This record gives sequence, C-alpha cells and structure tokens, in this order.
Amino acid sequence: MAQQTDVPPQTDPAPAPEKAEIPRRKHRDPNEAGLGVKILGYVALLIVVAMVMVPLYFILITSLKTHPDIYSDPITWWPNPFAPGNYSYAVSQVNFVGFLRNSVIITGGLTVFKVALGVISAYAFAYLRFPGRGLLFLLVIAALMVPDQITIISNYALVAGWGWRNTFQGIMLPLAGTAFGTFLMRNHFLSLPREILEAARLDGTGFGRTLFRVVLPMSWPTIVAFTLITIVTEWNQYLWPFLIADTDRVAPLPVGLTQLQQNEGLTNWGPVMAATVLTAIPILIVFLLLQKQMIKGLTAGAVKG
Amino acid sequence: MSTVEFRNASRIYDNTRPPAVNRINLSIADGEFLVLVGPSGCGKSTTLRMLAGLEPIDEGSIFIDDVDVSEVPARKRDTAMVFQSYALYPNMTARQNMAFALENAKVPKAEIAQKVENAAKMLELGPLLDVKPGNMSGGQRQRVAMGRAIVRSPKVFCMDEPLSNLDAKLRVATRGQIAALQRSLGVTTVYVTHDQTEAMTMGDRVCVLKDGVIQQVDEPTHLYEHPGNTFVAGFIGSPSITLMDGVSLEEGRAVIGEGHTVDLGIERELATRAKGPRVTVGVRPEAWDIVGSSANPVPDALPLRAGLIEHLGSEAFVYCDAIMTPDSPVTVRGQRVVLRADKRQPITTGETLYARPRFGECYFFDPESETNLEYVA
Repeated sequence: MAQQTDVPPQTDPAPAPEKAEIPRRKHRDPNEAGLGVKILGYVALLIVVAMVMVPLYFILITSLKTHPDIYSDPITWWPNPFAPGNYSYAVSQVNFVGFLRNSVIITGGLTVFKVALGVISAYAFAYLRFPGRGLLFLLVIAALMVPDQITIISNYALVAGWGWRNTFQGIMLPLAGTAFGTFLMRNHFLSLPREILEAARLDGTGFGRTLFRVVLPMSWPTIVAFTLITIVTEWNQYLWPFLIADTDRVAPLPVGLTQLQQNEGLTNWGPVMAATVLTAIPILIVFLLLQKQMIKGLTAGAVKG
Repeated sequence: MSTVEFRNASRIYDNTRPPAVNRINLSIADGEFLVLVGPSGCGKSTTLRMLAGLEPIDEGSIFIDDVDVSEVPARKRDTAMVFQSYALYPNMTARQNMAFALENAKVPKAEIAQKVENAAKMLELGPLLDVKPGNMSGGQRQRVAMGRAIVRSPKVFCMDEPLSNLDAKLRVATRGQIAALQRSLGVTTVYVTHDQTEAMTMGDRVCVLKDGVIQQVDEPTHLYEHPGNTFVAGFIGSPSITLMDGVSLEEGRAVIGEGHTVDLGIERELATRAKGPRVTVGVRPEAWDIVGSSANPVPDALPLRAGLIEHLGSEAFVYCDAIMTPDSPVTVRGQRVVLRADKRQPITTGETLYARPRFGECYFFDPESETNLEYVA
C-alpha cells in the first residue's frame, strides 16, 4: 500500500537536474538535425499547395476575364480588364436558378436518404446478431469495389423501363445506395466504448432509443464527416444525371454547366468559369458551417481515458 | 431485497480451453455485500457480468429471488452496474444520466426528480447535477455512476472495480463511503476487485477465485486466519505469507530440518491429518518473532539475511533470504521470507537475524493438494 514512503528525501534533488536534461536534449535533436529536412518539407508543401491552388486560382481569374484576354498568349495572371459581366451572362444565358434548385433537391434528398440508410444499416451490422451477418457485410464491402460506371447500363435500362427518365426519382434512386456509409458508420459504432452500450442495456434502453439517445449523440463528428462527403459527392454528380436528364427540368448544375460550354461553337470560358465558381460556393459554405462539428470530440468524459 | 444464487454456473468461451468460469456455486443472502476477488483473468468480472446479464450462462443457472434468470435479458433482471470506466453517457448531464433508466421505465416525471434529488443528496452531487461528465473529475464521475445505480433501487448492485481508476487517497475515502452506503440501503451487492485490501475491508463475505474456480468463500477475518489452501493464503494478506515446502513432521512436531530444529508447534490432531511425513507451512509476516541477531545467535530459530527493508512509519517489513543448511529439504517459495518488525527494532540490510514463528500462528498445508490441514477430514 504505502511502500513508496521508503524513499529517503535527500536522494531527490541530486538526480533531478540530470533527468530534466536528458529529455530536453532528446527533444532538441530532431529539430537540429532536421533543418535541411525541414526546408525540403516546406518546399514539398509549397509544391503540393501550388498544385491544388493554381488551377483554382485560374478558374477564379478566368471567370473575370474577357474572351480575348482568356486566349491571349502568353497567358496573363491577372484579368485585364475585369469582366464581372461573365457572371450575369452565365446566370441569364442558361436556366441557372433552375439547375441550382434541381441540384439542391437532388443533393438534399440523396444526403438525407444516404445518411439515414448508412446509420441504420451500420447500426444493425454493429449491434444486431443475425445469421449471415458476416457474409452480408462482405457483400457491402464488395460493393465498395465496384465502380459506378459498370452499373450504368443496367441501371439505365431499369430506370428507363419504369418510365423514370427526366424525373428526380430516376436520378436519385440508383445513386441512393451507400456501401461506404455503412462501412464507415459500422466501424465507428464498433469503436464506441462497449461499457456505455452495456450501461444502456442495463438501464432498460430499447434498441431504437439506444440509437437515438446513446449512440448517435456520441457519433456526431463521424456523421457530420459522412454527411459532408455525401453532399460533395452528390453535388458533383455528373454522369448519371447527364444520362437520365434530357431537359432542364431535373438536370443539376454540373449538367447545366455543359450547356453553357456548348452554347456557341467556340467555348466561351469566361461564363463557364463564372458558373463553376457559383456552383462551388454553396459547398464552400456548407464546409465552413460543418467543419467545427467534425473536429469536436464528443466522447470526452464518457469513460476514463 | 433479494437473494442471489449461482448453481453450477459456467461461462465457456472456447470448448477447447478451460471455462472462464467453472461450475460456480454461490449463495448470496439478502442485503449481503459479497466481494469477488482474485488475480487478473480469474473470471471474477465474467462472473459478475453473467449475473448482470451481459454474458450468457453456458451451463448451470443463476437465480435472483429464487427465480431462474439465466435466460432473462439484462434489462429485465433489475440489476444495476457500476463500471470500472464509469460508462456515463457523455452527452447527458449528471441529472440526465441518473434519470435515464427511470425515463426508460416510464416513471412519472415528479417521481424521477424526487429520486434523483435524493440520490444526489446522499452522494453530495447537488452542484454537479447540471454538469456533463466531461467536465468532472474522476471521483465525481464515480459518484455519478453510483448515483445512476442507486436511483433505480435495483435488486442487486453489480460493481466492477469501481475504485481502480481513483487515486490512492480518494480510493480509501470512497471505499468507506460505498460500504456505508450499501449498509444503509441494504441492497444485495456483488463487488469485483483485484485489491485484497478492498476485499478485506468492504465485504461481509469474500469469495476468492482462481482460474474460474471458487477457492474459498468466507468472512474476511476468517479467510485471513483460516485460509483454505496455499493460493488463498498467498493472495490474502500484504505482504504475502511465506510458504515453506518440505517441512518434516517428527513426533507430532513440525521441524524445519537438520540443524534447524525450529518447533512450529503443529497441533497433534492436525499432524495426524497429514498424509505424508512432510507438510507445507505458511507464516504471515506478523507471526514471526525476531529472537536473535548475528551478535546473539539463537540455536532453535531460523537464520535469515535481511534484504530489502520497507519502512512504513509505524512498522517495517523486512524481506529476507533464509539461510538453510546445505542438506535441508526445506525450500522457501519465492526465495523470500517476509517478516514484520517493530519500528523501534533497528535492522540494517545484510544483517543476519534469527526468527521464530509464534506458536499457533502457522498454517499447515498438505503438500499434494495444497489444502489447509484444518479442512482435511
């Protein structure tokens, strides 16, 4: 119990400074030796940032350039003159508001559906014991490996056969499956502290109530991340909506952008880029709103850790 | 107000290996505080979880209030558990944590508030009621976890090492609080710990487990004074008992060996129960009398060389090597003899001591079965 009281007090001050020095020296080592490495690291960082940022920058400046300015040789890095008119042109030339509305409907609907489906199926995979669970989960993982393009022909035949071309359900239904969400959420659920779920069991919490009152409140960061990924994916969905939507009635923004591009023989990149910037803005806003939720850890204080 | 009974209850994870819990038979009286104790991996937590319904009972059955609950799901067994990690709901305040089970049971709101208030008063949780677990200290979380169990007024409290995450001082204080609380509430309690001090101080009875098998169930002092076998003798008591193998019995007296005719004073009746000529002897640290030193050798005592000395303030424990004659058949388990010395008795490391066990304070075990001869028929 109290064996440590044996330590004589005078031994304390002598070894203390030595002990303090050793870790300090160790601590300094990687910094000193790594000066060259550090510079290299920063250079690599700059290259990567440039690779991401330069195209984005070009989209932005091109959206503000006049037509001759865009095709000028050598390329210019700053619009001269400024042509904000590209934006009003893009919005007025095609049914931008209509496409935006369609995009919001498709993305919103699909996100709600996919998150709900992902959470519910993952909850079953994580906590329900049923025959064939392992095999079924293997199928879900297998579905992750299949590229969407492979299923397009059969999906098209099916959806067209139902007469669902140019409808929202025709666009949304084939996209609504979510192997990724099931996989992500299941693994997250399994990482939750087992004792809390046992406590909930002993407290007489029903299966559904456990999900909503115990499991989900501990899962917000993962759900938010999953939601964000889903929103981005569905917002950028191009091939399937392009195939199924022949008219402006249900086509989302990415499909609308191509209309702008093909408007007059020669592509006028200014309005196309302006529309691209406008298309990206809603997603940027969503990102800014949700990122804080994603970082926040919610299991803090659940178990001693 | 409930009784608990284990009847041949077993938990078998893997058929090719010995069961984690092996045919346990145990009756726990109404309002009793029973402590399950044993080294890690002995099956004590599994036993508790079987009672709570978190582990299936593969063989045998468990009765609560004479009702077989073996197939009853956890939420219908009316047991409340305090987990080692506390397992509080992180998204709820202390009040919501405690009220949750009652809300699930659809208890009227006013009644819930009343019960939570009462429990909070009992555990001095008043100012913490609207705080979330993340903003509490370990001791506070522990109290909320206790509160969550108390408000349900369950038939049985199951506590799985609830103090092991607290610091030493808080642990001692909380130990007393839990024991007092249990006595005032009178709820049957099963308490799992690996800490034998907790076992000795808290329980009405202590159940010692090893490899999923019950070794002995008894009141703490009886367990200490009459250990059933060498395992119990070694597990209960700190520092551990000294066990000496190969002590011979001559004329009803246990003699340590050629040249060390230390009379251990075995009772005649016990000596007759020994199956062979030799027995295993256990001597607790406080049962040794230091009777001589190198300057003052004593012939009929065990010579020891003092090694590590632990000064605890009021007393000191001396870890010694036994100096046996080369032909002595006696071996000391762990090669260490531990004895307690008075703080007024100056002992230095490396010094030779002569010590002798007090009469009637040695335990004698059958060398084959390791059972205490007191229990051999």
